Amino acid sequence: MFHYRACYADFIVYVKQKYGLEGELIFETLCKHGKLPGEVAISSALKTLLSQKYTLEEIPADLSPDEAKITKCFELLAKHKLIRRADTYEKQYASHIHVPRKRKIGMQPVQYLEIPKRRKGAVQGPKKECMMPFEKEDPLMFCLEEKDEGEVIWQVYHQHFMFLLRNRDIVRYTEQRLDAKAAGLVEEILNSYPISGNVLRPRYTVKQMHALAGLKLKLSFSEIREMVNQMYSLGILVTDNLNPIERDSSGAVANLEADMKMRDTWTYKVDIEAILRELQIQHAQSIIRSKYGLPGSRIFRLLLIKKRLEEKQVAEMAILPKKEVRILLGKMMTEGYISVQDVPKDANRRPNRMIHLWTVDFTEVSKLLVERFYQAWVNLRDRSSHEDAQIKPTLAKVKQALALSEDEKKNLEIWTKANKRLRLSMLKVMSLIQLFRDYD
Amino acid sequence: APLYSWVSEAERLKSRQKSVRLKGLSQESKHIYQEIEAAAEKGIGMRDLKFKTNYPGPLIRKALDTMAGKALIKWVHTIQAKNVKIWMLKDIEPSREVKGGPWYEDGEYEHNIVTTLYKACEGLVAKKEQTAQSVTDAINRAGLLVGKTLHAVDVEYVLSALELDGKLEGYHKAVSAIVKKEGQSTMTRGKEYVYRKKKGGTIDSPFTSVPCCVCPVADKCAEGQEINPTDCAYFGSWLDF
Repeated sequence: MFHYRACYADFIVYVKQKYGLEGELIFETLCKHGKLPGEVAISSALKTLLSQKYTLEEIPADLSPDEAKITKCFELLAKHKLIRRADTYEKQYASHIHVPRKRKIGMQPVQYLEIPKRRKGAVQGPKKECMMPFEKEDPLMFCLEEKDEGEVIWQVYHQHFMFLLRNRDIVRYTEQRLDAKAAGLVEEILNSYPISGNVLRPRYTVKQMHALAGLKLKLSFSEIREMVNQMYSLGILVTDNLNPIERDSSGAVANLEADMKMRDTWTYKVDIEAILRELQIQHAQSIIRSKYGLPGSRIFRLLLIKKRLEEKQVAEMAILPKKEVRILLGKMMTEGYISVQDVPKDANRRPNRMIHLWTVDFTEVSKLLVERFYQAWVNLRDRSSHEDAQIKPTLAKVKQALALSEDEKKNLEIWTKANKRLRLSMLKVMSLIQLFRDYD
Repeated sequence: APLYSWVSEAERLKSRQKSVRLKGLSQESKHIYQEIEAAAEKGIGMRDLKFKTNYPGPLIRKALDTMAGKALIKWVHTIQAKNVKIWMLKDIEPSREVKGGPWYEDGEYEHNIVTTLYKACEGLVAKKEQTAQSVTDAINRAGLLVGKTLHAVDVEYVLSALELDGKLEGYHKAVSAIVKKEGQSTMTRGKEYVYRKKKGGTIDSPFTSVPCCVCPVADKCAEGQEINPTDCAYFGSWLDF
């Protein structure tokens, strides 16, 4: 529960950027209360807007313009599927969203539904597809009109936000590896994907990608084809196509022109799981680099790729002295980033006749890092609360428009900077938690 | 399988030269020489000689000194253990396992050599994509390592380390070349492993800017405890208080 509430700050920042102050206020109200009837949410947001915009004496008699703005923003949020009707005892709106019950952190997002068991000996009908061909959304989920009896209660559509934040990170990664145009193409493809995890993601040929995004991004067919080839070589796009490419005896492509034509018929999809995994590994490596330096991060990456290595092999492949490698391996094992497996050379299992194989279990590293992230987030919040408590008298004076002393002005300035830094760090740490939890 | 086979002239000459070299040595010394010969470029230490020959230590030491005096064998340092001598035949070059790469001198790791090679490889690949062989040739032409010639195998270690650090990336590139033979030109195709600068570099995780990332007592920190975020000195300096 704590995790879902901690994500709200991220959502509010996203909504503020796109929908302005009205969106921010509606979202703050919904996040504060969890679930609210639509009218209550709008009136509460209106009250907050009035208190921010006007003083007590200046509040106008006719509030309809402000109310209309808030209502319009509310409708827009529902239309763009950022808020949805809350589930009740009678009605479950988000039943199409598949959230796996038991999953370990660091595992790939589960996509498959359970395949129903088939009785032996019975007439075998066609095998049911384990994934749905399209996303079934309840049409009432975002409906503003109260067609059914009783009050309609609204809540934040958490899964859609996770979908948006995941796409944002993947687009940023693509921009970092290639350029803004490729990132734009990937963004268009990702926006066409379903939100839930048990629906087949659509695949596109180069021609279809051109139809999807060529006009918007002003890209020609050959530019998109070139971009797709680059993204395919970098692993950003994958294909399920099983047609083999003709190769000659040396392993090179026999006919480059035929290969190009064949690739035009291939269907591609964004390899979301691989990109998220790579991002997780890069973040983990960066954290290890800050603690143990470049040698430590090199050893971590080496053990991740090679799976199991002895100490002398690590020293040779990482071109580091044996003594330094031994110290680093010991430190990283104590922290829990790497583990060791002892393999005996004979049945006696004597310590001096053991082979020590060092390895990295990335699932365990992910769990460890998520724990650290949560601890850091809580520490940042505690410090932020403490600083807010310290500056409260000064802020009260500012609200009452009283004069401040020089010390108070200086403290206020320091607090503003510190508060900004703390809040920003909290947002960044929360985005890391979302990444390592696979945006659940 | 035949019971016997004719020995070639070259092999017979080799065998005669060997018996001339070993003339005057005792039976035990010849046995020890055989063990050293079998070890080839990996070499063999005193402990393994004792285990394999079952001779007492002083006898082995005397035999080794005699053979070293006759320039039949030599000892080298090994990077696996400090102050341990490894014995091998005089004319054999020690293997990489024993000698280490070009960044080992007399069994000691030299940081300067690794740093120089690291920067040189990074600089060369940053200009344009290169294979390990082309980087090796460039470094040897520049004469970066005085008195040493690098091989492509050595440079590959350095380039792989740069790949692990996220500065370079390698990929298989299809190459084709026209080969002229006996007046006919034919197209040959193959692939080579090429290194290039990794676009985007490495990510600097935002968690590294938070003091809790590198704090040595982060797991003991909690509100209400002796170590807590409210009184934390690291937080204070991070927030510029």
